Amino acid sequence: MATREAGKKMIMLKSPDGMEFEVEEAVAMESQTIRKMIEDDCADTAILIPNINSKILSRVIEYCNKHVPTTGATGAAASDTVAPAALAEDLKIWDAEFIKVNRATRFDLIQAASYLNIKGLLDLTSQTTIDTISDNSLEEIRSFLSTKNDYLPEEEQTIRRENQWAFQ
Amino acid sequence: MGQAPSLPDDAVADVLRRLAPRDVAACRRVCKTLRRVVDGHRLLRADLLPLKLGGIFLNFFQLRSATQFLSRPTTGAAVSGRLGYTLDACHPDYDFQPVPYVLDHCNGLLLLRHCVVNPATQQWAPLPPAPDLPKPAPSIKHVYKSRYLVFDPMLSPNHFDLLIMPEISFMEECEEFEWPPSTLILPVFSSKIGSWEKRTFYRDGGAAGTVPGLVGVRLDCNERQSAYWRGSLYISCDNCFILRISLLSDNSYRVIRLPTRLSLDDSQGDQQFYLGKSTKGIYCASRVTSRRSHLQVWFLNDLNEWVLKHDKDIFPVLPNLDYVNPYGPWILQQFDYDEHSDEDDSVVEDNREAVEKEKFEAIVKQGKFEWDSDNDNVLEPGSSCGGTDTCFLGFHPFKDVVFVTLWDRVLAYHWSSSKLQDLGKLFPEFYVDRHHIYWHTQVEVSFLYTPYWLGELPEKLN
Repeated sequence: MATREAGKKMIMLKSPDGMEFEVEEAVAMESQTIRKMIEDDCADTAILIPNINSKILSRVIEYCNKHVPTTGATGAAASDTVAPAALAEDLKIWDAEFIKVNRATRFDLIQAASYLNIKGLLDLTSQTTIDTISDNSLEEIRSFLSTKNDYLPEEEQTIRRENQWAFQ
Repeated sequence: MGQAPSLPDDAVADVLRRLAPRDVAACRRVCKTLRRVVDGHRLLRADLLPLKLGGIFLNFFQLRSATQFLSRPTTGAAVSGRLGYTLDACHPDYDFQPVPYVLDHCNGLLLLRHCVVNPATQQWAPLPPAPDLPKPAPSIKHVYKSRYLVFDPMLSPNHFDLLIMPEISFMEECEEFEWPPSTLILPVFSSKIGSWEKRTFYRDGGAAGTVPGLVGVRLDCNERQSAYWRGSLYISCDNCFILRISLLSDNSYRVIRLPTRLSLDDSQGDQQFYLGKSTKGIYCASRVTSRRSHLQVWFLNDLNEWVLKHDKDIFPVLPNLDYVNPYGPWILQQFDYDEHSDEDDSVVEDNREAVEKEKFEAIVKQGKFEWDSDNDNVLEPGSSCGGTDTCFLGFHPFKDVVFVTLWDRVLAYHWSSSKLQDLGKLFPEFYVDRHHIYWHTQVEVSFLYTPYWLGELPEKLN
């Protein structure tokens, strides 16, 4: 159900728990997945976003609203008078606040960013996970991911051998 | 994935995709779920990493206008050694004409004076001019500057560093001073930042000696040698000691002495040595001059001590080159950007055609496309009529092999099994034609090239 409001094309997004969100097309198109649907003319009626509940979807929309490159009315960041560097700095601070969530929410946001294909949000949400994997031992990674080593000793040897170059 | 069992594989893959190859490899070891995601989404493409030898880039004596490329025809079909495309947009601040001449290689990237280029993907990044290098002592007038490329795609797939190291190559009257100094300030270019900065390295352990006395003990060897291993750059300095610069951890550096038997001994004269990276780390090969076919291979252990791995006169296994097929299994890509010629492009094109033809003929003559890098083209020992004057080209990065030249051929010497293998001819025809006297034709520097098929070089650097 695409409607027009103040000259802007609007898109209706629907979460599986029945909530509807009306957003500007430009904002929705921050998601490459939705962009594709719109470009393929699959967005005549409301777009159902599976697996993403209304709480997470509203946060994703909040992110896209902030990050959409526009000179329009949306987002405080959009202003011709602000220097690009200051704008980037402002966004960085905003992002840092945005990501102050518990781990379960962050993982939900990762899933949403992955499904909706929003690169910036995926970079932001997966950063902690990446940092943990990059700097820590296998045991620390396991404990962060709450997972266990389920390899037999000989399987572990094989895997080690397969990528010997990485462990030298 | 633990507390978030709902996170689907695609989302996990999207996160892991952002990791460096080394960390993706670590993830495969965490648990079966992660391994399934890594393998299922092909997140670890070891086949695209610089883990295979692709060929050898060769610079020849008195040929500073172009670097040649020797490789298997299969690699040659995929990777061109022609680097002319980088010359189009040189940094405007340069006051020289750029040339496709390779100064260094590290994990698939080549350093030219004006840019860094990946010949596999043909991506290149222009470099801004380097800052002036501080002189080691006021009384030193001439300082030779060597540039070194550091690139570790396993840790950082898109970013490289450059480092300039001073070398005191001409000796003049000067006050005595310790070398290298306890703090070494080097210009470092980081592609992540996009500009040059001065970085301070602190010496761990003693100095190599004092200048001017130190310069008197120089050995004769190839012009420049360096190797990268586990976050450290190893540079052969002033031809009389090795510097290990730790770039990742603590910005420290250490002086490593050459293997004891390599230290200067007048009776051995111009002993030749070669520093390089091979199977287990840093190696050094040396040739005893009094017997020009006598080879030694040394390995640098964790205690920074050299361990002798191989010590043999290879004269008995040298082949009679008269019987060698002129078309070796490896083909030389020849590039002649003759500065005096007005028809550069046509010369290059002609050359490419000739190379293509030769490639084809070589494959047909061999009758097969596959080549066993261990067992094919093994040379029978015979009375060597081409002389015994071998010269090092480098270490095979992943095998117990050193590449040497003998007369006008490139040979692979399997030092653990004392086997010699013929690879191909060494000199481009135009080079031989220009230098009628044989001893003027020789290799100046060679780079063992490992192709890297991933990564994006930053397009514009300030």
